[in-house]
Amino acid sequence: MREVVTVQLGGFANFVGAHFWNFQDEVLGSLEDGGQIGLDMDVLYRVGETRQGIATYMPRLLALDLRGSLGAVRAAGSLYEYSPQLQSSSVNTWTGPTVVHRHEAIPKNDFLKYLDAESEGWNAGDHSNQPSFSSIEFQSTNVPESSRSRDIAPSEETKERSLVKSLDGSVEFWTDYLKAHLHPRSVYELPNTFHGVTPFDNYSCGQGFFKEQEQLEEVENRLRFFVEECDHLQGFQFMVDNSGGFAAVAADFLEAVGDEYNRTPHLLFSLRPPWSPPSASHRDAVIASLHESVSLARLSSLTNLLVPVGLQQLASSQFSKYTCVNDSKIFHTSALYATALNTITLPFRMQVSGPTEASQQKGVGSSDMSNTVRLVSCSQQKKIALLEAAVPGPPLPVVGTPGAFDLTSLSSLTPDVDQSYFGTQAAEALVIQGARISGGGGSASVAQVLECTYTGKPANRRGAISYCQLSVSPNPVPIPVPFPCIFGPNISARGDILPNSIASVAGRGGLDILSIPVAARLTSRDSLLPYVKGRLMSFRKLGLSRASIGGGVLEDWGFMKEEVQDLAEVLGNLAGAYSDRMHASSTDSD
Amino acid sequence: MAIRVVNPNAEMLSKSAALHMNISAAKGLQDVLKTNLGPKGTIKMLVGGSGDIKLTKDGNTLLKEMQIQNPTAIMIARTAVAQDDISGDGTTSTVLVIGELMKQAERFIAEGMHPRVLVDGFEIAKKATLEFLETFKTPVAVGDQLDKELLKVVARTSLRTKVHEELADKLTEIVVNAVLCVQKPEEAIDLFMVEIMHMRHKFDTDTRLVEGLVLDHGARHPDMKKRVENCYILTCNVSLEYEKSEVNAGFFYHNAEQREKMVAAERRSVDQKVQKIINLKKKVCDGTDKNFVVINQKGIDPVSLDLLAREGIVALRRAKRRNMERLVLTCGGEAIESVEDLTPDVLGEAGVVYEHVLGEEKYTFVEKVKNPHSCTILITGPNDYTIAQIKDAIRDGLRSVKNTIEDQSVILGAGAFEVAARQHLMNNVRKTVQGRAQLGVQAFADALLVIPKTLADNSGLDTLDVLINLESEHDAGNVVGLDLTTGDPIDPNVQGIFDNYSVKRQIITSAPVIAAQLLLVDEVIRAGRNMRKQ
Ligand SMILES: Nc1ncnc2c1ncn2[C@@H]1O[C@H](COP(=O)(O)OP(=O)(O)OP(=O)(O)O)[C@@H](O)[C@H]1O
Ligand SMILES: [Mg+2]
Repeated sequence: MREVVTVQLGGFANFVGAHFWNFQDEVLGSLEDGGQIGLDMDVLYRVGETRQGIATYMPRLLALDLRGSLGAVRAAGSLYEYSPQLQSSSVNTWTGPTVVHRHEAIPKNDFLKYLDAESEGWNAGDHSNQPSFSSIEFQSTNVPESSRSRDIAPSEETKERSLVKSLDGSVEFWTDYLKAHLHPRSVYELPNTFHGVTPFDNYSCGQGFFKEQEQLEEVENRLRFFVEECDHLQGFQFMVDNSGGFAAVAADFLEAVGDEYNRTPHLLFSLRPPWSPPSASHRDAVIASLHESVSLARLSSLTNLLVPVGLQQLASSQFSKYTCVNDSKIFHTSALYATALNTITLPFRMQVSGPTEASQQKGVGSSDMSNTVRLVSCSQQKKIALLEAAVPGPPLPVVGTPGAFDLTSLSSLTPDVDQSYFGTQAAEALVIQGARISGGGGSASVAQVLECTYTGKPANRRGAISYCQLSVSPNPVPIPVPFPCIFGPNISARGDILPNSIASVAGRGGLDILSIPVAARLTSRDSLLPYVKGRLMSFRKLGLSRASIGGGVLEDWGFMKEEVQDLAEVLGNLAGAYSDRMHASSTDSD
Repeated sequence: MAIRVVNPNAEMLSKSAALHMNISAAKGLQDVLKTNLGPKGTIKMLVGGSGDIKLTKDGNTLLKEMQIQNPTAIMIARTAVAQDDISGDGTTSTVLVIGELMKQAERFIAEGMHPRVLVDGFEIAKKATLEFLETFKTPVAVGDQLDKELLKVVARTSLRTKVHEELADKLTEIVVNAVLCVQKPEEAIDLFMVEIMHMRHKFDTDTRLVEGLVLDHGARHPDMKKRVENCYILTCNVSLEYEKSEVNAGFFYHNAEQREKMVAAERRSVDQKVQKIINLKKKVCDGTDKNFVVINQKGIDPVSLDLLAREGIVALRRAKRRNMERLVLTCGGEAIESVEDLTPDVLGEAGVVYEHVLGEEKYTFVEKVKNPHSCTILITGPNDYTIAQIKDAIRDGLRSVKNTIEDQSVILGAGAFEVAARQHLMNNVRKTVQGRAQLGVQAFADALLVIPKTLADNSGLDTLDVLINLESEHDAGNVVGLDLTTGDPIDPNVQGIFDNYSVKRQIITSAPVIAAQLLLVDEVIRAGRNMRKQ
């Protein structure tokens, strides 16, 4: 087996992660009935056993966040621990006085209550009966008063709609919509921090957590717990919230565990929700800019491949063309990014296909993380990669007609890239899952996808690709019920992009859309140069002079003069790996 | 601190407002922590918004659990927590003394005294108190013959402020023996060599000292024995897993054949490493009743496990980094980084190695070792918060023993020191001070009394009566502390109530420094004002 251990660091990373695990949870559900095929979920999941002897199947996941960021859900989860009984008599270490200080209980939202009711139904051994909604005190937001006063139980459909709708307005914590159960060792809340209280918005806030031996050992041990079980660990997939202090936490974490696992591939997604330009003060702008450079330099030198994900404006981007996300809702934006991450990491969990046609129908292009990372990074020369995706993915041309899989429909999730840069050498990993055939032609077979991809005009391929890895899976991405209603009105239940709207309202979610095709691509094309170079230049400009504001900021962050020089060098090397040839000046060599 | 405000009036205003804010923050924090102090203090059960429970009797833990927004309170909390990092104890006392210094100061400032003058007095008093501490301390003989009884007395004093007597007395034995196990003459005591391990058990609350090492994982092969006796232990940090050639190898496979070759070569090299271990095992075990256990910090893949299991070797993978060191101290031998270093000399020995399984959790006990210098304290408890609280108590206990050995002295507790120091300041020091700084000395002296006062208060005693009694005994030349049950003066020496010298020293050093910073405020950067308990 080729296990992957997932590590999520920080708020936004956990938001993305929660959607990611909801996808996996959905996949698990439909593996049984053949809705999803050719996958090996043991890659991401572990078999365990509770103290009561009940078997469990849970993510190999370590997630770090601030204290209090789990809302109504307990960090230890609910499968291994029953909610502890609260009586002062349960203190058996002290005979003197006891006082109880109770934080105001955070109420569970309707979705969590629904999940609870569902698992209670299962525990009771009553598998046939779906738990009924009526056992929940339902705070309906859109069930008309009339239907309630008539004392008729609203239909299942209406109830679910109302559930989903209330979720959209109320999500505050990533655990508010997470379906998957997490292992008690998975979530670690940073001591001495409090969600919403402790400022954690820039690099310096996150420093020093692992200087404390105890905290470091605790985190190392949790990671060890998951790693020790692995027979053939293929790698770590990191999701890092790069918008604030967790960039520093992540770098310190990687540094601390680096020695132990330095031969295991590290693939890191550096994630960021949309942001407004730093308007306030000049100093704030300098801090924001240095944060970007410092975290890029440090994180990239501690991983094998770093993928920056997060556009300044998502709603207006090409990438969100078929969706209606609200940039101010991280519940929305994290869902879109998670969709792309889910697909690009799919090859790691695909079964290796045999040579027979039957086996290939279940998908081709299973890949180890080490292969993908080595390929895309051109053997570690280009340690930053750009992620592109199409959600939903483009349709294949109707069978029998000429045409190719439209790769131009993939657009970048990485900011500051310029498609007009291209070089002579680049590599890419392309993943196409659940492709559909245009004009309502239904699902495409794996063979059909293979036939249509990497053909056609070079224009379709944008620059020279020396190495490529293509993975094709017939599985579409199943859309979980708590997925936000962000699909546009012209997306069909199977994710086809229709010429006309079929719904009167924009904002279709898990109840309307069953699944979608997705295509995603990871590449080290030179279009990344502006991203890397921009960070190098601003670091040189702002950070290298000690007397400047930036110099002072770096000093505050605890960087010595030599370390600042080192960071600059790291950025310089990163940028050096990407060629700055523009498309226009070299068309003849194409 | 820079004065940025241009308007002098505004500055004055903001200054006094800031001062006021600091004083009330210090008092607020004191209020929260004061019920914690001493063996009759209150234990606190903190219930989070999602129902998570924390149990604590410890100032340090409580401060870490509290949501503090007030910047002054944060600063005090940090100092107090740092106190714990340095000496492992005395957090509550530090916060109480800071709060009391601020209260005293408030009185004098209200009477028109300048904070600067007070702070000068604090400084003089601090110096004098530290000198007094040197004369007051009770020396402890160290060297070859450690006074184990005294170590126990100190540990018991500390532990009884954290858990009830019966449990405290049990833990006392354990922590003293643990420290004596890892302690080596002339070397700093490394408490990390005491592993603290816990197990959840529904009905059982128990703590015991394992003279050996408990690991939180087990062998990964079904055929490996669950119990072996008479073992050689190989401690190593060698990868025994087939790894895809590294990510940064500078090539691509050009064809399947080349790939196969690479894979085979890689596998061969892993197998060779395993074979070297097997060879050593055969060399030392063949023809004897000895067993062979490999404990590896790196991974061991199924193929390697299989090879080892076939030879009857028990192998554990992914051991904690620190267990490499602990194992060597426990069993002897050396931790090796490469199979090239494999010789019989690097092997340690243990009388028995066995596995214990609880649900999905596995534990491996390495026991019956000769002359171990590392050991494990194993806590069994019904829930996480109980285990965590016992663990905190054990840490405090271990620190108190370590401090005693390293300080080579202890301080009479139960308020005896604070009352004596006050007498000294009032009778001998104050009059040597010029001018109004005298009042600073007096404020400092009075602030020390917060310790016996709070101890009395937490025991339901009449604070005033108690203090009068204590002071008159001291006046009569009897160094006494407070009996928390009767309220009578007692001799802490006879009762066995001792605190750590370094802890007291740290409290006296840091409290006035923080108080001074809070008093000499020019401006305070404001954040939220409420301090909320969880
Ligand atoms: N049996 C006793 N009788 C009277 N006083 C005692 C007794 N045992 C301990 N004390 C006193 O209790 C105080 C220590 O209390 P406690 O350990 O609760 O607080 P602390 O050490 O200041 O802070 P922390 O919360 O970090 O431990 C010391 O002043 C000590 O002399
Ligand atoms: Mg104490």
